[in-house]
Amino acid sequence: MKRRLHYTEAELIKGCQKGSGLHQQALYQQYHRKMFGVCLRYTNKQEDAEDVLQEAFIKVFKHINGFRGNGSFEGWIRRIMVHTSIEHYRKRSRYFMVDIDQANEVELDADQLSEMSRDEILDLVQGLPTGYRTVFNLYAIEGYPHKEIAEMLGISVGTSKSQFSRAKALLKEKMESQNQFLVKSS
Amino acid sequence: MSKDIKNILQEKFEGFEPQPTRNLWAGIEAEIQPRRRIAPVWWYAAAAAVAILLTVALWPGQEQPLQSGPALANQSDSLDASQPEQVPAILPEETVAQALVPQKTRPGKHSLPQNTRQQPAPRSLETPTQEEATPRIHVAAIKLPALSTISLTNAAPEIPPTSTASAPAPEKKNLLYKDIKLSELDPITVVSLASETLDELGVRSPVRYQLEKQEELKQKKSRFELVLGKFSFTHTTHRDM
Repeated sequence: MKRRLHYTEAELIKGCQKGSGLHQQALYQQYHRKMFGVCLRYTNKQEDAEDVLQEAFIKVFKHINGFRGNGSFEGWIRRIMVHTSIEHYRKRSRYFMVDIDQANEVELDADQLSEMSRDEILDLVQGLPTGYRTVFNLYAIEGYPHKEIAEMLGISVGTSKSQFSRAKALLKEKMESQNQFLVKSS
Repeated sequence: MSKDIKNILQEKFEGFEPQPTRNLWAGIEAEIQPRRRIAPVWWYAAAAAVAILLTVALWPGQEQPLQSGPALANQSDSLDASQPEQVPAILPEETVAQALVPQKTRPGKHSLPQNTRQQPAPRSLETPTQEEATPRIHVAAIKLPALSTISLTNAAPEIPPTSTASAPAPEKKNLLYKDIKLSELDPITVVSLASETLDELGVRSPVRYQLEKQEELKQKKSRFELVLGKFSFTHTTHRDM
């Protein structure tokens, strides 16, 4: 069988469900970098992100037969990435996601944010505590509503909302201190 | 959260495709690989069956294998002598056909060597009617000639020219096959197993064997031309490959 550069989603799914090594490798080739980007956001260092990526892809191939074709395939893979990275931290810390009181709502500075580079934002996000980071990613970047986040993480909707506000507050602090630094040095 | 912020963030991470620093695929493949083996197992079993039957077919034990030997050598008369690989390949196809006729189960494979030893080869060749034999052998010719050719081209150079010419002990080394689970072997192991067995049994190279038996061939030629006629189509299919 000739190795091709690009396979369609349907071909990949079918091939992997049959256990074709060729298709499995092609699937990994086509999706792993994007998914690594996802893992980087949910973990706080590169090493953890790589471990999670590996674990998650193993799950993808083992559960490929469970993909029913309803919904986006990439979205399905992405969810596995997210779940695996959450599990990665849940296993390590009892205090992964504790109920907290809702903080005052703050808003991030949109202008400042758009000025920042992607790597700078990634740094900020990775600097957040795991619980805040997870909810922030799920809500602000993945775009899940709080209800789904709560279900996914096994927490209350209230906890999800407060985790999110705390995340925003922290980010705002960091962004402001950065801004001040920049202002001072210019 | 304002839509702006969400949009900005999503935009920033759009097309974010970083490269991991280490090769993770190896670890992934290792974990998922056992699943990959499920599909080709039957193929390995078929290769193993051919290799075993080949070993039996080329085994110059008692009188009756000699009869299959001349058939082998006789066919070489009509074929180019410089193509020894093709000649033995024809025989295993017919023995494979015989194998396909009686049993297909693994116990069958073990007991088959016993069967072919006790019956003279020409008789078992002539017993199935031409119509019966034709489709099965044809199937075998389609399915397995590549394997038998490969296994022979591997086996032939490995058989040392100095191996003893005497007939090997008739005790069948069934233990060798019984203890091995063919489905767990890869084809390369199976093939080298077959060639090792040939070495142990002191089987001569097909070319040498043909040359030595040419006298006998001429005597039995007329008898085997009939047989040859039945199998002439295998020549065609084999050559066409």
